[in-house]
Amino acid sequence: MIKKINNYLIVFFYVAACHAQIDARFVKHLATNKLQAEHRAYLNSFTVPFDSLHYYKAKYYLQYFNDSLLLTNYTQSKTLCFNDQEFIASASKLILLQSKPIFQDAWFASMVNQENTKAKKYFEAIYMATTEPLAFNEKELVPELQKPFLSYKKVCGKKPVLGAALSTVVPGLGKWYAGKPKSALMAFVLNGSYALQTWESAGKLGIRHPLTIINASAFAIFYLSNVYGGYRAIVDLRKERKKQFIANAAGYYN
Amino acid sequence: MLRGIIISVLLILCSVLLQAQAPLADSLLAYEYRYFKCSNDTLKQGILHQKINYYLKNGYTGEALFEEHKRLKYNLLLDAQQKKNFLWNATLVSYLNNQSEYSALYLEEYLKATADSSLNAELLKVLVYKYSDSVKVNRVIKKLSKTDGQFKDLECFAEVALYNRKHKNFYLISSLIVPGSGTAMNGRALKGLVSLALVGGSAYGVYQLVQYGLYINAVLWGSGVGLKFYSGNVKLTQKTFEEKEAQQKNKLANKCELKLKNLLTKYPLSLRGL
Repeated sequence: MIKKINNYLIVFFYVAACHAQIDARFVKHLATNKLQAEHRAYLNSFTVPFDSLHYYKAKYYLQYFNDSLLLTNYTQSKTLCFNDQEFIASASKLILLQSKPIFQDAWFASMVNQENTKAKKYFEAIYMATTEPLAFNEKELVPELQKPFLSYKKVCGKKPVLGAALSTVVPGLGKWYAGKPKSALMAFVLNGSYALQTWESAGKLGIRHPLTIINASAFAIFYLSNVYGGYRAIVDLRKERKKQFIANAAGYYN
Repeated sequence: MLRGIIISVLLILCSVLLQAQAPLADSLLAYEYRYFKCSNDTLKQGILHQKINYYLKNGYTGEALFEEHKRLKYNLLLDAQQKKNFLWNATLVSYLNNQSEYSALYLEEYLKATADSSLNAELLKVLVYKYSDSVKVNRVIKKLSKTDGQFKDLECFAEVALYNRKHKNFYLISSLIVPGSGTAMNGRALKGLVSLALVGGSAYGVYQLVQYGLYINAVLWGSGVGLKFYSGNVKLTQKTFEEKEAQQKNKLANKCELKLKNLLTKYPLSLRGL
């Protein structure tokens, strides 16, 4: 009889170990006190995978940000994750701010078939606004975000190649087109100075004189840099305004 | 027979499950779980103290341990000796983590709790205040020198704390008059010579341009390149001066640290209550 009870007890403990539940309050305690090693050890102590384990792991990888592992665990516990709107909002925010486009695409693609919640609608709109700004209607955003979005949209309407072409015609004009008048003026003055120096030395010393060659080389370098600068100015401005818009959007959601 | 095999297999599986974790993280987790489950605040601090001691026994003195020290409410530790040991160890751990404010705070609390005036406590004071309070350090060293004259060597920490290289303006003016001279006097002779050659070469070039009647070239090369080299020479002098100052301060500090290390070998400061 005792042997039988012992056997049942062992089987019971083994089954209990396999189906152990996560103590949500304890996990919260570990997360609040930022006890990373203990947090990881606790989650790893469950050897048999189950939905809520993946959910807590996703939360762990959100706190100690690792977008790849966050996505892996999120896809294995989508329903649970999606019921936690705070998690969805924080993850969307961090992924938009810190992840590469490939992870952003995967993250928002995984949300397509999920229920339309406030966080989902809000961040999907932000994602759409950043990926296809020209096709996006700013009225879909809250009024507070329309201004930063329009400023981003305006830059997206400008073409880097046109910036480079304008700088080729008149040095600095590409930067002017990008909305950087001070930089444009600097580029114009610098190129003008080198052109003037080259013209003077060529006129007085001849075109084959070393000074003319030095002046002409310096002018050529600055001129080509100015053309490339006209192109880069628009590309950089796009990135900067996009970052600013996402930061504003994330801040507004808080 | 079959039942015996099944039980053995299950026991092996259970033991594998129990042994699978890395021992340190696993034990820390066990302490944390006990801490979490405990509802008595005093007992909780006792568990946290045990956790801290576990870290120390395993030779870990890093940032995570320092953070655990910050969590512990030492005023709730019931055992007076336990509290003293905690404050002593907390001072050392904070010092090892370069948290000078915390190490000073824990040391003050330790001294309040114990009124310890032993040689080890005095030496710990030197360790904690060596760069922040030269008056206090010198007073302690004076006291310690009565026990062992070797402690007088530690007076060098006050020199390090007060060290300032003199005549900065002299070097800067020197570079304004003769480009590169200040940099060379700071021990960077080659950089000084390059500065002199660049500024001199620019000036000569501008002079030649004027001679040839290339006035636009003279103005633009002079204001664009010549002035940049000249102001760069002064900035370089300032930078090399500060580098030299930091270098000499480091040299003095290293010598002092070596002396301190020798003294710590003679009078070791060990962790307590482990």
